[in-house]
Amino acid sequence: MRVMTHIAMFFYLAIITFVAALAISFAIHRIQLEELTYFLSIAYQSKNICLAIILISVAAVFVGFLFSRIILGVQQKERTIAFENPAGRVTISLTALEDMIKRTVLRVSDVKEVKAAIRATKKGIDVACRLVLKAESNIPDTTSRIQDLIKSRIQEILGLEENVIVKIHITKIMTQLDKDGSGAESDRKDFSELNVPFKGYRK
Amino acid sequence: MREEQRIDYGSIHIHKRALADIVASVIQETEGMSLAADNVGQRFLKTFIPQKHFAIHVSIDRDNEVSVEARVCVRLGLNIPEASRYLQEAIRETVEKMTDIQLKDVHINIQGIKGGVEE
Repeated sequence: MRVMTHIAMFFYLAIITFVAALAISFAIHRIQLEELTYFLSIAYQSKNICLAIILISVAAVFVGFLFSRIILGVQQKERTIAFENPAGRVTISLTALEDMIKRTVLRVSDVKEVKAAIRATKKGIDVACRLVLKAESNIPDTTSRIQDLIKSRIQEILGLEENVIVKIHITKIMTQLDKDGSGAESDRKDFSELNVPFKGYRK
Repeated sequence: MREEQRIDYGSIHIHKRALADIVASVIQETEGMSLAADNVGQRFLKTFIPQKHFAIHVSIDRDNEVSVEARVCVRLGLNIPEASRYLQEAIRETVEKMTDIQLKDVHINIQGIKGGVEE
């Protein structure tokens, strides 16, 4: 895989450099428009050049895909908590913990939506929660309850006495109108019930 | 590719896939544990190789020592260190009992937590 990565990197750099050099040459008029037209017409007519262009394009797509996998893979690897057992290493995906927090917090009746992000730092585990609350909720009570819940849940599930810092950010408070969007509807109903004189006459 | 052992009558080859099958059955039989789901690419590959467990990786190093890495999901409410220690022991014991191979390392990678509101 390392060899493949190096080949992909070399290939990608070569393509990017070539395209960039071509673009700069064109912009500073080092390549004449007639020359470019001439080369393009030759390339268009030659089957071999067309085949080469197709191959390079397919390779570029493949390399792009490979790069995205490598970058995503690196990100996935970084987002874990690890500890050693006598039998081997245990790694816990932070995405799994975020998912667990999301589901735990959604059990609280005042919470409408939740997004959680976890960072493992030297100081401990940093949890950032973005919440959408219902209008009738008491914010200090609800947030402190949620903070305690997340903290206890993480300590219970990880079995660690690590410091858990829970930050909560309330992004929205859902009112009754937001819930069903019936405000304008009800107004319209009221008007429709009015008895308008001479209604329905048209010439 | 294969773990080789010699007995009086000849040699025995144990394929990595056989070890992966043992590990998979241990995980499935362990309370609150399950194998992590495959991604889209792995699901596509599984149509061609249905026996392969993508969540389990068996590796054999130069000294012929075998290590296992398993991606698992745990049930909500389990204590992960305890559960994973139990699973590591169970995998180690079962593989040793069935194949006489002493595993060098059993790495557990917790990929998800099951249970809760959405389940």
